[in-house]
Amino acid sequence: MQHWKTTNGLPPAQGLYDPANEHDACGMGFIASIRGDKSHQIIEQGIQVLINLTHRGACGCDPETGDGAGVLIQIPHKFFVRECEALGITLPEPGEYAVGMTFLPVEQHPRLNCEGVFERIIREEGLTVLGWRDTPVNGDAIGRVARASQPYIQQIFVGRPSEMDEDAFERKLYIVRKLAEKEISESDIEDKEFFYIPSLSCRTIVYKGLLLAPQIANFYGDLSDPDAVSALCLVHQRFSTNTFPSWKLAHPYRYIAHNGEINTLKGNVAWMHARQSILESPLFGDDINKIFPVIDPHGSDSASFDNAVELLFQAGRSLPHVMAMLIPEAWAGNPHIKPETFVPADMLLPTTISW
Amino acid sequence: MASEAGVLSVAPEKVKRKGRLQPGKMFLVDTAEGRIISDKEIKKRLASRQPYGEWLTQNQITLDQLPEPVRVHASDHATILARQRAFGYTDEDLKMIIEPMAAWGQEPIGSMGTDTPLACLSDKPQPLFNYFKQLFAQVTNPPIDPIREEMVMSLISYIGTERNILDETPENCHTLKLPHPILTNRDLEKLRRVSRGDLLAITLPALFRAADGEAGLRSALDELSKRASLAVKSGYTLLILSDRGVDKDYAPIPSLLALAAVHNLLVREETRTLVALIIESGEPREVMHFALLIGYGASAINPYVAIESLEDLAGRGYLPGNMTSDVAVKHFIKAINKGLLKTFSKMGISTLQSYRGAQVFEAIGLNEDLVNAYFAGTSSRIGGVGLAVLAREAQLKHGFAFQPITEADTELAVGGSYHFRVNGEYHLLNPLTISKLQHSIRDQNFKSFEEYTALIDQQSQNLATLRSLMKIKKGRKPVPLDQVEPAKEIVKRFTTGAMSFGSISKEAHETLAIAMNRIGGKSNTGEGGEDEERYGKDANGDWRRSAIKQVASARFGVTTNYLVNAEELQIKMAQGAKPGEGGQLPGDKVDDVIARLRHSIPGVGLISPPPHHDIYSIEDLAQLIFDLKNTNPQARISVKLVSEIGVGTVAAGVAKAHADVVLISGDSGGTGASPLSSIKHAGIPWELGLAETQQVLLMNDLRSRIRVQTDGKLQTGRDVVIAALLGAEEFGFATTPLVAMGCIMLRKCHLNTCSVGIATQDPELRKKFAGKPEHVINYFFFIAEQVRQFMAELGFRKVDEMVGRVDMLDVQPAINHWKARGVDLSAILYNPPLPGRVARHCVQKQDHGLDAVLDHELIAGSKAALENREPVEMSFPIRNVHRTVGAMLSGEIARRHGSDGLPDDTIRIKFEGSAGQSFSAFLAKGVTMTLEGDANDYVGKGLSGGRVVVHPPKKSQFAAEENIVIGNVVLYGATSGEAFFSGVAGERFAVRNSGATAVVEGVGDHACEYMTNGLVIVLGSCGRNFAAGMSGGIAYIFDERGDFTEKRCNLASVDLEAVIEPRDVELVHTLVRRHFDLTGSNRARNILDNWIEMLPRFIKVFPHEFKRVLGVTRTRQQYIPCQPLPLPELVEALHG
Repeated sequence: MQHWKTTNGLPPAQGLYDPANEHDACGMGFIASIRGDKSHQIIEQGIQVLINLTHRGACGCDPETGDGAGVLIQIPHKFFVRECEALGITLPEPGEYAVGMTFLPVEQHPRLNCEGVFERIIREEGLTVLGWRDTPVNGDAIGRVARASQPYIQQIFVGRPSEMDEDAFERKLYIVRKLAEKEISESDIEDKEFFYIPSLSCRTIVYKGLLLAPQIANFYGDLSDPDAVSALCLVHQRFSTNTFPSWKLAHPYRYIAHNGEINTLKGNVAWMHARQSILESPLFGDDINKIFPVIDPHGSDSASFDNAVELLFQAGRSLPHVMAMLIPEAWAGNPHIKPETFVPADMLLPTTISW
Repeated sequence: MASEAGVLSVAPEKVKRKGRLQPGKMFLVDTAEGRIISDKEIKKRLASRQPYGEWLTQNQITLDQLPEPVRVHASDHATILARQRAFGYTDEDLKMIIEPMAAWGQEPIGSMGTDTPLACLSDKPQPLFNYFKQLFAQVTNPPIDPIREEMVMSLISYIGTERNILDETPENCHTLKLPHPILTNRDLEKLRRVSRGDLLAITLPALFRAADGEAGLRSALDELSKRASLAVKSGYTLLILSDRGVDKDYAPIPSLLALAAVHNLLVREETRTLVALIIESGEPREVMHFALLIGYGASAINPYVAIESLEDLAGRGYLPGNMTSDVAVKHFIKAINKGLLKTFSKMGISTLQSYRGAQVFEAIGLNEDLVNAYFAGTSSRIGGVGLAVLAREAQLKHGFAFQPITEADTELAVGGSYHFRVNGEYHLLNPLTISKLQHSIRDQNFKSFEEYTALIDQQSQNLATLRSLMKIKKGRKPVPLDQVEPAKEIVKRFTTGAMSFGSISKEAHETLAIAMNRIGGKSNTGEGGEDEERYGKDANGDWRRSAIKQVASARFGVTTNYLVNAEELQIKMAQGAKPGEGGQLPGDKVDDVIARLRHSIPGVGLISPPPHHDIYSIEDLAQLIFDLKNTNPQARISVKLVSEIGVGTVAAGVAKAHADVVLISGDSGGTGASPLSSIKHAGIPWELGLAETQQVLLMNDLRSRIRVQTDGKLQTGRDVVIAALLGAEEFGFATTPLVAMGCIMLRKCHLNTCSVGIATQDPELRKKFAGKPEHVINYFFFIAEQVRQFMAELGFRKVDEMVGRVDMLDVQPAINHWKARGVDLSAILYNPPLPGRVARHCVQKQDHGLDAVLDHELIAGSKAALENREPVEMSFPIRNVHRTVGAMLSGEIARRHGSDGLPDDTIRIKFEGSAGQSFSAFLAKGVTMTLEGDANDYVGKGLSGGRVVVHPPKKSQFAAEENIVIGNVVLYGATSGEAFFSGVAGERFAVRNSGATAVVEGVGDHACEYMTNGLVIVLGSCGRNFAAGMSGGIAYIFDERGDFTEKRCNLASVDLEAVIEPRDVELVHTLVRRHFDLTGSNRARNILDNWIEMLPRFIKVFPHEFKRVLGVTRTRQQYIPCQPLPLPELVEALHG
């Protein structure tokens, strides 16, 4: 199957086909330790959940290639310290550095080009580049079609300046990612469509790809290492309406994994664009202009939703607050709503922008 | 937390609680605080973040609070005719749309679909609205029922400036709240003069000089946009775009165009959220018009000519019962609002706020420049007209409006869009074509059949369809006609449309079946079930059984026996006449036979829900396909979709979900009764949907494993050949076979007054039915013969060689129609460049994965029972990967023993663990499956006489009645049998139950929705919207919290009563006792042990319609259970 040179890995519009009509659905789940105790068992169990949801995914013309699967976990500090030591990188304390999971072009020249742009932007934004790690992957663990479209997968380690707190660091990382995405997609770097950052955070990391659920632990060796520990593991198995290989459209995204479809997407994206000129936040200051467009025009409905979640979260809302704003509970004519236990859309209206 | 239960094995004794995440609720694990935070607590915390309530009362305003306007536009009888004409009103608009809405407060209904030209091919000037088609949800997203689930729907609109969403201030609440988007003239004047805070309105004229044509229209649009942009900068927050002031010089800019121009510009300038756009226009008059205006960003609409027309009609005494204009306007607004909710719900959208600006439309026949300039983001795939034609259409209407009006000329244009009219819009099936067709078939005269097809095919005078613009290429070497496969092979590819017995008469339905069985084609049951006496062949060899059994959302009569008596099982995701909508068969049409076939009660109304409640997403469809395939492994599974943009990607998903056939249905629709706006404005022609499907399947290399069928007013051999070249292997016909049997297109199918005995149940009218199987057979053989002639000319020996040969199609040359010449078919005729090994038609079978199912072991273990009716017992461990357990065994029972099944408890099977989806689906009579553990969604789907018991593991620590044991959508479409669940069920328990008896200890939202028969006992708490649309059967609720009447139950169609009658008391007691015996339920034991105190807390849910047919008088007051008091009569009842 052809690898399409488009930003989302789907064919360009042709004939009556338009990639904007693609849908996906899935199985998903998470395992968490309520007390926040990290263990390797949580990741193992998460992957087990994923495997038991395999029937909710689908495979296309190559039975070994799935529609995509992935996991989101907390950054396994001990594991990365050990791995980085071997590479001569000294990692600071947890929270003082971020890991960026990065998909890159396979060819060396464009890859170095992308890495260079990414590093430059990190420095320009006042952060430090600690180093890169080749993510060990096992190409034999995946299908033929997946292998043919597989990007080069690296992890970048980014240091936090001492005067910056963790929330501000996360916000900076968000800005860095938005700037890098924009600059590289507008550049003339060859194979630039491979470039994609599944996650860039000092808290969480996403391992995903064009995989079938049972393949993920074999493909990403990191996940099987006993030192890889987390207190949560969010998993997702995708079922898409096409057989086009796309590594990027696998979930989880940086904040969400999603099952279903957002049918008002065109409106949501347009409205978000339409309000950009009035967005203001003391947390961002002038940096707010660096994150536009808020919604990546090439993303799927779930990816666009993740973009909206990220904006609101980085602007200082709690995750539950963000979800209440974006997915207000249907309420009109509902006799169960009592103001003290429920926030009707009217009340949250100032900021409700339902998707 | 996961999509399914049982994805990780956890020892039962370690489970503290089991639950489900309800819609709109949050489940928060806070690892920092080290606890789970409840939805209630989250919402409470959020609500108390700021004094939102106070902010609202201080800042939000409503229309009532605004001062009465000094002056309101009055209606002007002297100019109304001219203005109606200028806005393109026809006689039909008044008589068939506006009048009925005023009279009945709802949208008018029609039937027999549509066969008029697309707007871009019509000779008549069209409203711009007619160049758009509504999108609708199918497969990947469920449509909503806006009536029965009104609680989630809302038309509320907020007008004003949106503030920075990253901040929260009292000013964010400074908005004007409108209860719905339709403004009367008085409402509009209030807004025009509003001055509260920064709410300030400006009116911008949306007119252009008619004489200046395209240039005038373009500069008027530029001017309007410029003024809008400036108004925003000047601080205006309400922009009223107004076309008042039409006169002999000025014509209205099409209201949608004016709106779109302004909306698009302000989105680009990133200032759109600072203002609300309000439309004051004479143009909008039907639901589609309002839906489009809102969908492209309008906040409110004042349809002043529609209102004046009503006043005019009322003044002239044309409205029924001397209705006043005030009442008429009120009804009109109500009808529009209802229609809007229905339009939103088709797309699965529940609120106006979400719908506004969502652009869920596809343009058909607008060119790229126009779309890019004003409707950016909307798909328009066949090019079409531009600003010049729109200006021309406005000029034509304007010219007609302001020509000198003579005495003889006081009428509107006739229209003729809904019914054939002389001088009206062209119809493919008109009196001439109908009579030609009928004569040729009755006289078996191929020559006059060719005259009929010539009239349809040669549309050079009257372009009507996309295929009329196509040309079949010559160029290949012809083959002799006798080398082309015989007609008797070709007719096997033909099917007749899904018309239920109920929508058409028994005679018509059986005639179609006999005809299709004789020629080896396939007829379709439609969604009304089928009489079992039709399953065997008649003495004369005829077979009245329909080869295709449809499985639609209501699952009427879908029993295991129905499923095994089919060659094909068709899942109807949507219907051409009204995609995204449900249906309703009123009680007076449900006679004894229809009620029996649909497992209901004569006289009780029947509702088809808009979605299949077991399909909200593509993996759910895969599950239903798996369920059906298990029940009848020999049948092929087909999925019926309706053409719309994106249908190709959905079809690819359907192929990946292992369907054997996908049917791409056109928009034109058949006998189904449907709102006129749905017939006209939802869905697109099959040519587009089929071509997209073929292209997308090819690009994914999925075409090789699925057959493609198409339908939608196919009428001639040429139509079939074009469909084959575009990618179809099979062809469906509905309208023309009806015409062959005598239909004369009266379009009154929904009124039960069909004078030729086809679309009626009236015994007298049915006697007039004169159709014969031979008529249908002659028709299909004539078609096949024509197909053969084309094939010979084209050099194809077999139909398979022709499928997908889109390279053999070309554009009809020399089309010089003023509108059609802009149409560009290249996207339809696109042939994706692919290597030859990518098959263009179906060459392989789907792998349904049936080899691995547990049922093979069940069947092996049941040999003695299946063959000799000897009792057997088995037990198995079970996991979530074991899906649809019991269905294949049940299919086997039905095949051998029919719907009677086996004697009770012949096959007893015990399971331990977490069962996968569709546990005990279609379970047949004679089988009892007992599960110790829990189960996922769809337990007992389509239960057909079997018994299913689920209870928690003996080692469990939790209280069963507080924890989930079974998933969502349990017992969906169950027709008979018993179910006992010790524990709580998810959402939508026993929806569309038509005969099963169930006991459960708690249910989620929407339980017993659309139930028409059967019995449900809930021994615990209920979610919201219980019994919505329930028209038959009984439910008994143990009202644990005492809030059932006030908060849980939807009282629109049921009465609530005390359980006092000895019959009721005994029934409940017996079933609770049985529940205890089968599950060991603590809840049941507790109730039985304290029966006298507990009994008064039971409520009987008794549907109105059911009462009416039983002859029971309606209760006036809803029963609210008292605190338990041991009443002497209850004790008596218990012991008596």
